[in-house]
Amino acid sequence: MILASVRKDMLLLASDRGAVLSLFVLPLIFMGVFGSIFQESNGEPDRFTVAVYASENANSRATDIVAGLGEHPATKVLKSKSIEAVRSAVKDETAAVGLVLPDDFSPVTGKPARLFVDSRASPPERVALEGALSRIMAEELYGKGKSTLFVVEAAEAGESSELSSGFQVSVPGNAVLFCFFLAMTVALSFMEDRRTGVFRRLLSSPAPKWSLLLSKLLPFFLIGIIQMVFLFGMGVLAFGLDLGDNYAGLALLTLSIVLCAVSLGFLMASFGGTEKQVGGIGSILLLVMGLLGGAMVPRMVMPSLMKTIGFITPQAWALDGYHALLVSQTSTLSSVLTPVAAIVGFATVFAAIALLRFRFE
Amino acid sequence: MSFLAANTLRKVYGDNVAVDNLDLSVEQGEIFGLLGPNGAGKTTTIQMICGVVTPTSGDVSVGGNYLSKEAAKLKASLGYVPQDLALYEQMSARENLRFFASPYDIPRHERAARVDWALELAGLQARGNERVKNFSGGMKRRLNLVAGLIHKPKLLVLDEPTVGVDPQSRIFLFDAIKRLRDEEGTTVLYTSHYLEEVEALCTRVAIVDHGKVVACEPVKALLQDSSATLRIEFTGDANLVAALIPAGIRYQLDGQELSIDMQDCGAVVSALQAGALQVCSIHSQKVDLESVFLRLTGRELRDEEQ
Repeated sequence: MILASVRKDMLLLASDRGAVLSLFVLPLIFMGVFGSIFQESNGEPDRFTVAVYASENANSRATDIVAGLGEHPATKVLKSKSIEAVRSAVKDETAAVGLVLPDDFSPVTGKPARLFVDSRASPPERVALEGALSRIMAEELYGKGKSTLFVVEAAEAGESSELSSGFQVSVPGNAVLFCFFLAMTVALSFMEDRRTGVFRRLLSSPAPKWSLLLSKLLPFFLIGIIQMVFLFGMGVLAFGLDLGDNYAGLALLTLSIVLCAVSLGFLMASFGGTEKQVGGIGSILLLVMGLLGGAMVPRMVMPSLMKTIGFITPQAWALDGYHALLVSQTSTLSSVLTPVAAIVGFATVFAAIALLRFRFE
Repeated sequence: MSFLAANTLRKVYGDNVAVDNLDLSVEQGEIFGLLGPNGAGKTTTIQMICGVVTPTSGDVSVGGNYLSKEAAKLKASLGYVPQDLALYEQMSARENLRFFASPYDIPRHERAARVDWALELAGLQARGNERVKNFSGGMKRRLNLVAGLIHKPKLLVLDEPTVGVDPQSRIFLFDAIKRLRDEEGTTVLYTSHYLEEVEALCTRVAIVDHGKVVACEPVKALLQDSSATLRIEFTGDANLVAALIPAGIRYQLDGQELSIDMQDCGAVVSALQAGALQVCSIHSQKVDLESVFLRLTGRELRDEEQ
């Protein structure tokens, strides 16, 4: 029964051009467009000027950073005599980004550097600059591949980031956005089976209700996995996405996201209504969730209040997880456990409410 | 013991009693008709029999298996054909049949042959690989029927299977049902609004109204028991009819025509004349299930449908 359902839903999906478009094609277009915008915004990636201020009393870490930035192939250092001079350099675009290193610079103990980015710069531009700088600094301090989250603190315009390529953000962002659109496909499929009498037919069969539910949900779980593999695969092949080396973390996070999307679809189906209503309300709900969760505009450029609000959506946790894996390139599984736990929590709550409310008829 | 037995089945939705302690028994190999207007409780009854709806109280047994104790066994022995076209239109007829066969324990090596058998029964062998969305209404109905009997059930439950079907497909469906009964010994529970279908197909019929069985007899006996219906044409104010006809007499008013039982003829004609309504003509009507239904329930079968 379950295998037959998988086969049936694959056939139905393949024949549904709208669903194929929204789950597989549209995300690629979005990834390409947004990724290109972010990429363009990186400016001159070869060498960007960093206006740096470190007092004479600065500790060795700070002086190492200044020296490291000077030697790094991506950066040129413009030494400034004061914080104000750093600010001016950024403002008149002499420098792409400003960096102020405190005397007791020590990211581990909560004494990070301060960043200055031109407030007129676009969010992707700010993110790219901040991210690139943070990453270079982290590599200077700890070596390649280590977390850089704590290297710099919030800057005047924007805050710490480790973005190195626009596609590192646009691919997971749109993959998450459109993966959750799977919820619509799930909900509509349930409602169609209810409307056409397929559920009634199946309820009269010897298959128990739990088996009917499982055979209804499992195919979409598999479709969701195929969708994510396809989107990330195309991200790698078409957009040069760097998946990092934490494949276990990537798999765990992706599975939890697909599970959550399917559970959300089940929840939407449990509220009943017509297919038209679910289509309308569901689209709006998923777009708002995607927006709040940072799937459209990166969370790192959002004001702190918006960032906090974003955590009411599973999309925000999903993107935080991908951020750790693809941007910060963390290599330990533990780096995604918190997002995974949160997303599985959402999935559990969605499924629990759905189970209480759902009626086949 | 009857092959199918519904024992004091009851279903309550809030304050609404949809089925009220209904009893039913159908013998093996019988084609049994269930008649009643929309809302009478017949669909709820058959859905309880098929395990689609859980009864508030009462039980069902099919072939000795009780719904309350051996639901899976009971369900494995029946095939339910819902009123709606419960099919996937984007898939081919063959793919639909394969899918709807999947919950049943059909040996792997038999599945393909079973699908071919069902396609042949539906007259769709040549179009088995075609998408259902390209089928005519009648072809979809035929596929809908065979999807419910792909596992060769001992009891076939059909809920209004001929709604929107062309005459040719209707005859095809009838033939398929009779063939199943004759060749496979399948017992059939058949609901319909079309009385002529039930008369032509069923050996026995139960008439359901307000969730209760108001009559359950062989069709012939039901027709013999019924007195003929008369149609009285009159002139005058038709609004007076309700006040004039004595209490307890069942009648149906349609413009300037009254339908009544033959036994009430004298009383009704006297009442109309006393009220200054002029009787123009009196015609006797053929006794059919329609008139039986009218006599038993006081309303036409399609009242609520309209």
